[in-house]
Amino acid sequence: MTMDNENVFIELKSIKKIFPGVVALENVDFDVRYGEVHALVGENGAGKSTLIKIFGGAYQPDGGEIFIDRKKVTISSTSVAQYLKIAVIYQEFNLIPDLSVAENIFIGREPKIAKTFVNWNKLNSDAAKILKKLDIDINPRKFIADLSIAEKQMVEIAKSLSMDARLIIMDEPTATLTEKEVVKLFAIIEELKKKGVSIVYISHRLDEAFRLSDRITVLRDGKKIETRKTSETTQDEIVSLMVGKIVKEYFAARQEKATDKDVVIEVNNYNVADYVYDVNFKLYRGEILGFAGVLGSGIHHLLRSLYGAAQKTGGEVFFEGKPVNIRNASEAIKLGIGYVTEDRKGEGLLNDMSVLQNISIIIIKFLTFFKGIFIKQKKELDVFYKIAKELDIKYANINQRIIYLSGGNQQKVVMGRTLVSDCKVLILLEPTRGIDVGAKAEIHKIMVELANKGISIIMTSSELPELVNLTDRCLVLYKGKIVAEFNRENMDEEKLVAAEIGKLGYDDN
Amino acid sequence: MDESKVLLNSKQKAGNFIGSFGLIIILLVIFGFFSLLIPKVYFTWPNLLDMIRFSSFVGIGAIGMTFCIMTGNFDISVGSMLALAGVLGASLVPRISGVGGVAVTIIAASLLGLINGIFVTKLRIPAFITTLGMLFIYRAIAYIYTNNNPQYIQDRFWISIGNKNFLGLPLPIYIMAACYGIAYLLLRKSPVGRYIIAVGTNNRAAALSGIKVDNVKIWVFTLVGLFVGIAAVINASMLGAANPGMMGDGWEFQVITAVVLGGTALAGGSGSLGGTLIAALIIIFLKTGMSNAQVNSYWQQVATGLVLIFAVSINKLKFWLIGQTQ
Amino acid sequence: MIKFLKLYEKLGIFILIILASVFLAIVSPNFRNMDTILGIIMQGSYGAIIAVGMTLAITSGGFDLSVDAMMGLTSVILAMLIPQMGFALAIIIAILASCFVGMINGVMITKVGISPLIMTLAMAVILRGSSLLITGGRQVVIAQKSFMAIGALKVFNYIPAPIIYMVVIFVVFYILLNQTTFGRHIAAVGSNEQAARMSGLNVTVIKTLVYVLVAFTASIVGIIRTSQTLIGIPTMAPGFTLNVLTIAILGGTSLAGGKGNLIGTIFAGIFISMIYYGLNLLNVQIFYQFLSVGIVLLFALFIDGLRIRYLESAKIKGISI
Repeated sequence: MTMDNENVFIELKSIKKIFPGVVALENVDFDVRYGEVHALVGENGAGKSTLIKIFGGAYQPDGGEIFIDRKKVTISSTSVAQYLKIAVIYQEFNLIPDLSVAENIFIGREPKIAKTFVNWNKLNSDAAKILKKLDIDINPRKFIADLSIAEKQMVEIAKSLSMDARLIIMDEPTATLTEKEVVKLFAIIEELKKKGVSIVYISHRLDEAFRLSDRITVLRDGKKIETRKTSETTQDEIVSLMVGKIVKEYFAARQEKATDKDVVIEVNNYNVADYVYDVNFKLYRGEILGFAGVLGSGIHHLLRSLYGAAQKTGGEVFFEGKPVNIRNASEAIKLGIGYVTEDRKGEGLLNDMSVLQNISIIIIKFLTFFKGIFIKQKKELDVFYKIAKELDIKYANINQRIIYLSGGNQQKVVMGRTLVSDCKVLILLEPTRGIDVGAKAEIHKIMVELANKGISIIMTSSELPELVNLTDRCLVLYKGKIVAEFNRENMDEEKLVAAEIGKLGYDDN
Repeated sequence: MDESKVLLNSKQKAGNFIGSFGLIIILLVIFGFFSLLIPKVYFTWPNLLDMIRFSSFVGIGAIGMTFCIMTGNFDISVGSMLALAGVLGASLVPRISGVGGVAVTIIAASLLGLINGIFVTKLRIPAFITTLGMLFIYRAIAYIYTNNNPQYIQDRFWISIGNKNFLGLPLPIYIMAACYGIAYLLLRKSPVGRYIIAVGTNNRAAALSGIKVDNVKIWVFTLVGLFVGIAAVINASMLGAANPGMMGDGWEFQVITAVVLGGTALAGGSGSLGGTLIAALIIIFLKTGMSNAQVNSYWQQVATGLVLIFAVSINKLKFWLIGQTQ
Repeated sequence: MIKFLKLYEKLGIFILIILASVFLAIVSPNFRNMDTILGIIMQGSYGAIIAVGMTLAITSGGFDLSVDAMMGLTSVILAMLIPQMGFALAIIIAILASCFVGMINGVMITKVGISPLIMTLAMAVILRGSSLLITGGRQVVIAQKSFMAIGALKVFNYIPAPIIYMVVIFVVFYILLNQTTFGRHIAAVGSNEQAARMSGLNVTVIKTLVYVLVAFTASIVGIIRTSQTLIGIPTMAPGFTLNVLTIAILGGTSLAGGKGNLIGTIFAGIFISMIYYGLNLLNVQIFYQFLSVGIVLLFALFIDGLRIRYLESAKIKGISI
């Protein structure tokens, strides 16, 4: 740090954080000055969320130091963070649904009568004051459960202000907001800045980062790549810093696509209540079809409902020419549709089971004798070794529990689970989320090989290079509608980004 | 292929050690202690056989409960289920013979389990509170059905189930061995076991793998009923009667203790039938020992409560050591 | 449907009471008599008082299955101590003992991480055993007749004392839950424990105190019941926990936590008492009481389950409710 040193509010020095199997942060330096908006950007898995959890006291770093006003501090818990006037607004809000807006704003610091009773009048009027200062029109007596997501966001901001936060960290604050609400949020941020409050702003949307921030720091694979003054850099420059140079190299070569235009799945006028509106598309044999869109675009609801894990509310689906109605996962599996979740921990891994059992869970009922009562163990092992070899899954022994595998190998197991059931269509959500670079390349290679074998793949990824380099075609969803279609020839990251945020395409609303 | 062991640190080793050998050591310590304290009563072949015979009552009932807790559920109504199925079967013996009575007992208990399963899955209410309601309802029906009269069993077939020996060993020991054998095959060698564990460890992942989670749960509750039915037959046979009030009163507590002490995690997913069996033996060895040593029966009651808390705490310690607390 | 459930949440129990009243007024001439009504309310007050404590526990996201055993413990302590130190001191010690037990429950649940189900179930067994141990399994008669006044007194020669206790406890707990920061923090913990912790609330202390409060209400009822019979009964009120849970849930307090409806709790207590009165009129055996409470519990759970499910699906669909 140079001459700006006096202005620095908080400084993190060579922060390190290790999770089993993954180095989440490696010697990251990061500082925030008074009254500054400091944007933090990076792809998924770059380490942004880990870093903000360290700010908020939810994680303890495994190495490095933190200074506030050049005094060394340890943020050992969330209440210590509060005491240091650091507020973190997580994507999943820390609001209490059954309490009112005012109560949430002042939770733990409520004005009291006789040190015991809630002073409702003061509580509500104080809350109203803060909300008014922010120009937010919410009744402080309303319950959080009755608020929209945007309103909850505003309450979170009001909460951080009420405790005189000197640093507010916002994690993807605009992900679920409408255009109008975003404008309001930005006005509030400008206002905060003037008051000398520092802000760390995390967003996928680079244009926002450029509109708001004074400096931008790029994280990639747990390392800090660079910090630049926003006025002295361009979006293109930041994108290339985020993506890195190695990216082109690790995408496997895609064979020329099969010429026969066999339609495997055709979807007409497809609707999922409140999320997907009148979507039409076709999926060809041996094709990798990408879906792009920001959070809230409806992609996840679309793909989940195709697999029967969510309910469609209208439209038709044809599978190999026959109309089908997929109501649950087992019907999808019967047809030959496989699904690999983006939430590996939450709904992918069977934690208490072995590698072997995790692979065989879908098809185990067919690997049996005696009318499905007993498992043919030899057969199960054969299936396992075959897929383990095919996907190059690394494990210590077949009885090793799945949670002891690295992220990349876990992902291979979850993919292998669907592959062994001989699926014709594979739906992959964020196939490389939270796994390291080497494993990413392997997963990409596997996907290309599968497509070359004639399996059709539907994938979505928030890492745009993945979509650009892997897919044959890419559909862009914006607010539940398909707004653009690209093929290999005319697809690039800039166009995808523009379409994702509704700035390009044939339905520009 | 022992590379996985390399991955374990000393804490995890300690955790696994508690899991695998702790129970057997506890059993041996208890047996050794009472054998030294009151050798003439306790350390005899007939007493040992008798203790194993009695433990079949808890041990068999705990099989279904092991499955149930492994799916992350809970059935607290088993004591009342035992009584209702028992009095129903016993009351019908004069009309449909002992064999028929035994069959009715087992089928009735399975049906009661099925009802529990349907209520739990379709109403989507936590299992403990649904089955708590069922605990009272089943017991009340047992009272009302019998007008609070014990149903005595005169039938030779039924009586011999709990009391006769075969090749020098009491029949209940064979029945218990058979039940555990079947349960083991079901859990470890059949897809059913995989589904049970999958639902218990991560029901969303299980659903995405095409498993019908609700159906698995309903079947598991039915299995609870089935094993309760078998336990009811043995219990009624040993006592020579099915009593609507006394039968199975507080039994749910012993059964749950056996499962939890056996190392099955309340959160679901991991469990061990062998652990449950040894834990059932521990409970009966301890209980018999205390009775033989003429410990006040109220002390025994206090002790059973403490054993359960101890068991859960040990489990917590185990999972904490292995580093898996959620 | 959501509207119906919201309405039910507020009014359901009153509608049930009105229906039951009309029914009883038709079939039983006695019911139109004020003494009978006061009698029914008094009978309902026992369950209602503990259910007030239980409501707090459920609001915080837990529950307590050891309340009936706590009543037994209280009863036994009173019977043993009253002859030695008079009833004032004995009552204080009995209440403190129960509160201490509640604290153990709370600490084991919050600190060791044992589930409330297992912990309080085990505690119930331990307390029963201990109570039986203290008296050697016997019931102990209390010779001091004046002690009877506590439970059997009628205020203004008219209103039974237990009703007064119920009202006082209701008012105190109502203010505690709805008007104090502590009470609001109980709701916060039950509504979203993670967020409560992240907001800097001391979840451990809050939850532990809630179990102490449940124990307190249980011991109050233990005192009332002991005073009315002048007998210390170690196995007092077996199965009463089910009544208490039923009352709390029927009153509209959701098992999902975060929302405690104490007014509903009081009236649900009275409603259960009306059912018992009705069953007595039919002259059926006591077992039918168990049966009816079990069925009422399932009904209340059914409604609660519906509510949770509809709220969830509404949340998924983004409907504001």
